[in-house]
Amino acid sequence: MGKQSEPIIIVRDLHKWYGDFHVLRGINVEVSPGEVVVICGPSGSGKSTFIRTINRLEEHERGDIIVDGIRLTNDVRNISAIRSEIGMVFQQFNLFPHLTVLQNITLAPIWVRKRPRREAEKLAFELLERVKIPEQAHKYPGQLSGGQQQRVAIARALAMQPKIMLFDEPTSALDPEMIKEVLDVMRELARSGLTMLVVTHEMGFAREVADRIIFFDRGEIVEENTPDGFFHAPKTDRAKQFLANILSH
Amino acid sequence: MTTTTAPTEGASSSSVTRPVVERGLLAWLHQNFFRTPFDVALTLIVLVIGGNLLVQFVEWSIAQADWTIITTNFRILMQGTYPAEQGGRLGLAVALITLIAGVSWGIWGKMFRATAFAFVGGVLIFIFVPLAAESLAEAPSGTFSAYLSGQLAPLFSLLREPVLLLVACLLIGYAVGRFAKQIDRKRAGRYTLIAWFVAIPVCFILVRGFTEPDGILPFVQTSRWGGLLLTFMLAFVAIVACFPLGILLALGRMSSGTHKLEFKAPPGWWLNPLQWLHALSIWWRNLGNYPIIKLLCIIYIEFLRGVPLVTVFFTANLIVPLALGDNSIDAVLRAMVALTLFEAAYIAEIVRGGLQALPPGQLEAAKALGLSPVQATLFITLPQALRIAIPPLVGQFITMFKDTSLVAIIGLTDLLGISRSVLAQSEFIGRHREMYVFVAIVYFVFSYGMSYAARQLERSGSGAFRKIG
Ligand SMILES: Nc1ncnc2c1ncn2[C@@H]1O[C@H](COP(=O)(O)OP(=O)(O)OP(=O)(O)O)[C@@H](O)[C@H]1O
Ligand SMILES: [Mg+2]
Repeated sequence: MGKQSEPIIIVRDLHKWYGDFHVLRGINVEVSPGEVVVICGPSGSGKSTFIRTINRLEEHERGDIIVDGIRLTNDVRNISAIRSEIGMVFQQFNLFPHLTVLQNITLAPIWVRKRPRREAEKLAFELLERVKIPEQAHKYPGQLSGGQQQRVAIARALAMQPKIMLFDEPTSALDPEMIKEVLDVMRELARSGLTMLVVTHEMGFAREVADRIIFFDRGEIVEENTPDGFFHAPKTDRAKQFLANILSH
Repeated sequence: MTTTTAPTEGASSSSVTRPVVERGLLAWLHQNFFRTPFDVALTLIVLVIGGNLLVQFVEWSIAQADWTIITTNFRILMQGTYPAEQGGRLGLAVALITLIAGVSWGIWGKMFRATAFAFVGGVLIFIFVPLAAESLAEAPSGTFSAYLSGQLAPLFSLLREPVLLLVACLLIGYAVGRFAKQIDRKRAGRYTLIAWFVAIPVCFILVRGFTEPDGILPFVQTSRWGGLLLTFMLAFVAIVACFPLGILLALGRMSSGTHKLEFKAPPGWWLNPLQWLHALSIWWRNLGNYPIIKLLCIIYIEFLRGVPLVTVFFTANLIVPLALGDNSIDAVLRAMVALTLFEAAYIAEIVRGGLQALPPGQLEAAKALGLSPVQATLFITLPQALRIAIPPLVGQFITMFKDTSLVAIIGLTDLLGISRSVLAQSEFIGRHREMYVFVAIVYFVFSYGMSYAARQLERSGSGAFRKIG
């Protein structure tokens, strides 16, 4: 898959340092439109840092990131152009607690995309329908369960009609019974043909939904494989060890 | 507070009953003041000392105090030498503000039973004390009755009309607010906010005036503002002006140098005027991120926080006219400017504290959605930071209200300043206690009112702030 169309994300020789600490050491990745890529790896390996460089929540120091033909530089216009193409879902939801669910979802479409309020609200209700919580529109985030909050966060990101969605451990802060409701929504998104980069430890989800799995360790991509290949015949020892650790509990 | 006792056996053996909770005054007293021997000792000591002070104060105020210094100078204490025939304008301004305050209370606040009782009690006192005093007119001197008729009654009858009027305005406003809230809460809230924004300048114009002496609103020189009126105007103007300034300073101090644009010079760029323009535009667009702004904000804040307010008043009073080569700038205006500039530094630090208390994820989420830095600040971080900062902000506003008393040092006659000039009159020699007790009570009433209103404002957050996350 993906050979016939231009990659939508191109990352070439990406490096990043926190002070003296070399977090990302030469990352090369290409993602095709519609592809679902799962990123996994041990804690502290730089997964979050990597996906946050893609929408410039973190600056990189060397290498190129090209998203949908736009090269990420310090130019403010490029940054905001790229950010409105990319939706992001965080581990801690990061909903705006002083706004209602509806306001959370319509804020960016109204002020960044300059949509009329009525249109933005209509879209918001469609999205809430899609994440299966249309009845919560007028509540505040603090009044929702964790799973509901994360689904609102997904709807909020989708409201900008992004071409790419980034997920940084979207289910790690959730109780087990809420994980499924979020993963169900993500499965549905993957089927709809959205390009997705997902950092997760949900190996069942990865096996079922991913087109490709990227394994990170110490700031490098150690292995890139199909889900089948990765889970049944990992090529590297580090991946084998990681899988042994994660599947043992 | 309540006392819990051991759970009693329920009717059905399988279910656990709720512990029985003792209620009532005795249980409350026991729980709070007499639970341990240490509590008992502490309570008794405080009772003895406090009771002794109270008895002395009552004795003094009955046997020795002479409140005529307040009653004869009441008008001057309240409004200085503001022309008496224009006094109605002040009344109107106060009534307007009280009315809107009442409406806001009706919409955002709640009437607590204690508050209602306080109102009713206050009104009854103001109605009945003068009445009671009349019937006791010829009591022997030195007794409580004589004190009531000779001392308190004039004070209360002086205060009666204004107080009743204010309470009436407040309650009418409250009723209107409750009514409006029931019809359309959102719209009521919005109109009330607008009313505040309109009322503030309107009141200022009402007090100051602008026409010729025979016009509808004759201009009143600020040198004739005095007493509580001047205290209010100083505090009011400074609070309204230092708040936005403080927010800007806080944002300036929190700003960072990210998102800098680079100028990539093509070879021989200096020969091409278009490239010059390009370089210039990049320099200009980088300006908001220049560390120099941040540095200036830090210097400003730290400097003003490092000097006493009095020196700022003196500086404004002496150096500013010297620097401008012009002595005509109003002394009251100078004090307002000095107070505003000084307090803005404190407000800035409070707002910065609020901004730093926010989880970083809030700004990240705003950025990830494509909001510009200005939008992210206006819609996401600032509203939340201000909400967090309400208690310290109100504390600072109260401090500011009390700080205005320092203008007495530069010769302005605010409530404290004018009380000193009243004390200098020969017939009131030695009546310091009465005067300062009165002044303290006035400051207390308004400071407490502000802090009470702020607590109501905080609670009005309802669902929005039950849980952040
Ligand atoms: N702001 C920062 N300053 C300094 N070091 C940082 C910073 N953020 C992250 N790091 C370090 O960079 C490394 C990579 O962090 P990152 O958050 O990308 O890891 P991760 O793979 O997402 O781990 P996890 O699974 O725990 O989320 C970690 O060792 C972390 O301590
Ligand atoms: Mg992470």
